[in-house]
Amino acid sequence: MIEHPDKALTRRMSRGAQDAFDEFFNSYFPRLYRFTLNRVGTNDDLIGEIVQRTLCRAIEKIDSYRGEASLFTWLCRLCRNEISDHFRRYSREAARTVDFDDTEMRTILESLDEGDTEPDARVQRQQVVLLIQTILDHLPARQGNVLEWKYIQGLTVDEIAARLQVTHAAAQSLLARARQSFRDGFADMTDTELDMLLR
Amino acid sequence: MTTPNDNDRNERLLARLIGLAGPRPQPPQSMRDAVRSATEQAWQRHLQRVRRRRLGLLALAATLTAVAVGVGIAVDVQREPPPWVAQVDRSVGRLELAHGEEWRPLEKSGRIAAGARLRTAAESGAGLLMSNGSSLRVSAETLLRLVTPLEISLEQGLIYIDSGPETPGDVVVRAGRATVREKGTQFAVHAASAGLGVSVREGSVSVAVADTTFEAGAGERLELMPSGAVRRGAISANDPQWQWALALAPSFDTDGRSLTEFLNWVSRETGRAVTFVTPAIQRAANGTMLHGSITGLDPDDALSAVMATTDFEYELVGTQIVIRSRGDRHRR
Repeated sequence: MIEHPDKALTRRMSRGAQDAFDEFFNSYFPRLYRFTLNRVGTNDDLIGEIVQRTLCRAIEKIDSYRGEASLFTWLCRLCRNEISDHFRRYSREAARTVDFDDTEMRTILESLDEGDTEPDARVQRQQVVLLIQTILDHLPARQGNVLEWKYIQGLTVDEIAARLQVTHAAAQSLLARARQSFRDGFADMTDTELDMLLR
Repeated sequence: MTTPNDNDRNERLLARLIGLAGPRPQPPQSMRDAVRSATEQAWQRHLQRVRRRRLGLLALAATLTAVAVGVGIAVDVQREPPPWVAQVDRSVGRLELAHGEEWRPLEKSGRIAAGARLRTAAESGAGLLMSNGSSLRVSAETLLRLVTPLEISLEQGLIYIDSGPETPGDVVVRAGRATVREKGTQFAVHAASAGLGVSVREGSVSVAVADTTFEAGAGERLELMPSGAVRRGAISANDPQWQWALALAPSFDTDGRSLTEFLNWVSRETGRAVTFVTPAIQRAANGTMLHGSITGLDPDDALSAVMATTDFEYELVGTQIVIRSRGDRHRR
């Protein structure tokens, strides 16, 4: 079995490295927050409770993480269980889920370009936003961050390099990998290759 | 094949999609603080459980002590014997040095003179670099005296010794009335009658108790009970019982060393043999020089971190570390 690089982080945590715990929390807490937000709605108390239980449960079981999948995938599995347990306990309706098998992305983009404000278009827009943010969250943390910095905050490659304290070349390389990872994630989640939308 | 125009269009589409999504929602600071506090407490509890497990092979009784001995690769040996016999390389929890009747904490890099008495507290441990190049690792609740770099008087607890073929003389551990000696071309046996446990990872030892000598080779475990009964068992080089010693392994300076040298260090610390898939890969590993530091990483973490920076990948297959070129696994 080839170990996932995330396994090195969990090992360091089990050895008591404070910087490993800081990296774990800072990287995965915001992403689990969004994962839970998309499934239970905007009740902050509930989200906080579920994410806290997920992270504490993950710490207890950290030695059982074998590194066969990414740590975020493993954490999402634990989080899904906590969400299911919550709704089962309180007999609520099933948690919202989002269907990402939408092969009409091109149509949605066209309608968004036209500034369509119809309710259907607004819902579609929300779904696209959710899709994009989920893909970003599933990337390694630095890759998701650099894509946001470049395409939302408008940072240049040099500014990204300065923020990460790496060379220009390293920042460029990281951006290239991040773009490819995003394309792969998009294809996985939508059954649509990104460049098919150009045709 | 994508053309430069395709790449430009891809870039623009990516920019549109991500720009459309906007910044990802961030959790409120109050939630972050509360969840962090609870998670950090859970982590501290986890660490306590891990320490108890890792440093948990404690002395069974004052009359039954355990000594684990391995023969290893020596680090550089100084020509002039220094006034100190050991230096603290790593420590977990509390390590103390006796000053007369008083015990005082001993910090990392602290040096220890011949004849000094040391002790570790519960859930603690220490890795010492001996002046002759060997590595001595001390488990929790252990009390010992460092007589010389080659002689240790173990009063209570568990120690692990990794000495090398270039270490002059044989390492001797006296525990009660037992003497454990690393077996070489010349050795003497001393009388002893206290109960003892000895596990051998590599090389061999002789254990003298009263007028009886017992031999134990690599992979063997000896238990000498106070009643005089002797039990033998097996313990593999990568048995989890060695794990506590891994955590206190001396640092390996990777800067300027070859990948092969690093893998040899990982191999002897973890007990797993390194196997190269082809001779060409082994040659390439010999010629791959490392830079940087793995300070603070134990051998398992260091292996993962170092290999990620090379053109090779590794796979743990049973008791082996299999090294191949990156990407080869998927082409098998």
